[in-house]
Amino acid sequence: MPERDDFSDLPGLARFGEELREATRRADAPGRRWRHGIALSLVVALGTGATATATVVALRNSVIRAPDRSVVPADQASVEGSTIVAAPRSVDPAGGPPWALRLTHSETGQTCTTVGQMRGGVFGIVGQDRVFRQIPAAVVDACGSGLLLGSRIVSAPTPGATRSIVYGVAGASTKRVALVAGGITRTVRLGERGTFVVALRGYPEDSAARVELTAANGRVTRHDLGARPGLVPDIDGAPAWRLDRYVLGTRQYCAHLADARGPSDRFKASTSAGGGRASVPTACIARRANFDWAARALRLRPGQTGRRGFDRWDYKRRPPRTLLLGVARAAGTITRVTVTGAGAPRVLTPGVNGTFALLLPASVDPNDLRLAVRLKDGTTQHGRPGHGITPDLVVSRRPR
Amino acid sequence: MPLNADDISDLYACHARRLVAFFARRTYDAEVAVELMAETFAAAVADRRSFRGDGDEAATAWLYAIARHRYGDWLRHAHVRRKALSRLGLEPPQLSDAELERIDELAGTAELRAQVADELDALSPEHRAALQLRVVEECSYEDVASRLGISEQTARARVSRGLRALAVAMAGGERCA
Repeated sequence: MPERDDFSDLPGLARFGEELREATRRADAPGRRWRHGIALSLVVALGTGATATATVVALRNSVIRAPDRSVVPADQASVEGSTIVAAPRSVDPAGGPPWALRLTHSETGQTCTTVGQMRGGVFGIVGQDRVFRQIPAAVVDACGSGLLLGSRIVSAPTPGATRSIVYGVAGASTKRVALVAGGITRTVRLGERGTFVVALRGYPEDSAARVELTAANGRVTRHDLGARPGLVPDIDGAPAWRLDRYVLGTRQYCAHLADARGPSDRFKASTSAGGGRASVPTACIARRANFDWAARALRLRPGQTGRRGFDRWDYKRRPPRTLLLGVARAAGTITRVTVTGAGAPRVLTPGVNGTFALLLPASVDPNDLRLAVRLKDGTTQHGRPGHGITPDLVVSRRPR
Repeated sequence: MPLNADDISDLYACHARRLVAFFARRTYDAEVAVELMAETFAAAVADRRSFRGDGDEAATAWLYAIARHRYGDWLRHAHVRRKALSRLGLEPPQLSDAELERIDELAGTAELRAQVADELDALSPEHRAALQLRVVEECSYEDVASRLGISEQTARARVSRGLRALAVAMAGGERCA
């Protein structure tokens, strides 16, 4: 292998190397693997543990069968008699039985959790065929030790009925657990060993779900389950968007919104309205422009599409919205964007790539919007939608 | 043998610079090259447990296979899809202008630009003018034709032949180098 590089002339690469190393370590950490396992266990009740696969349960069967104990690893094998259903319940947004969390001990002393629904004192789950089935005590979703947090996605036969079940075992010493979802913070009810469960409409990113734990000593820790950089939640809980910047050719930077959940992540039955991946027109600025930033605003209606071509877009059946989309000519040059003309001023913090976006009700006229953009040097530039925008390439390039 | 955080870190220390140059030579854009390098390593982190090779050579080959795949992805989509970076919660490195210039230097894109300029000069004036309008100024063929006073079909032919001549000249240059 070549010699190790100290990146003395490229400190940015050195910093990224450190971040990559930390991210890899986080991904390797047992707790993380536990959570990841849950995040991927979609659609049907299925179990994954901290260290290996567990039991897949097919809801189309009339009975959910307990796994063969001979194939269940000891750290996922529940100890008979140790099972309890924690007291907290959460109303199902789709109108089904309330959600609950079941706890049990594994043979190696780990805590195992199972997410399910309660009907008539029975712990089970309603499948996509709308049939409720009991989940045997030996079926567990995941096992681990210490703080256990997860979000479980429950698919549904109709679009819009997807739910995310946020749950955890925060420990008896945890004083308070708050869930931030859709910009609203609420304190959740805690049960035995600091257990909690909350059912949310949509995917975790649709509400940018985040859990905040307050320890007995007052220390607050935050855990993002749906929030992440570049995520733009809808104003009314519709599927979230991902804000990204790309370099078009060698001359333009473009801001772009697309479904936060890519097609490969979706299940057919519960894709966001319209199926496929929704997207919007881009906002582009020339790299050699005389502007520091560019922004455009437009009204988008369900079913709108752009011209077929290089940067075609399709709004699908997303709800009507007014969209403000912007991008800086160079990352890091703008630090804050204040938008007026749509009620109270709204302050946006651009991403590290210099992009910003704001979704507003469709009743807002894009022409009424005004922007005050604060630059890194402390000055503020004022502008309106259309500022700095480079014309649509599809228009400028066609016909080929 | 699956790779761990230290293995990935070693790979990064030994290959990040080369990968940036690798991408810069192909994309002619230092920022895109850095993004592609970052996405390549993020993808390597995501796939680290599926690595079954043994030794540095195998790990290097595996890494460059991912890199080529990312490059192909960039060609198809015309932008860097940050799927693996998003999964890790990372943003690509933000480099200063001086660092971007350094990458251009490492990749030798300045020499390449000079070579392209030389080869353009060597083209016939008709072909050079057609390429200038179509490729540099991004005019439509209709505009190219009207500005050169020729038919659209002839404009297309001149651009096509000009590009082919340029490609042949550049390929020849590489062989000689």
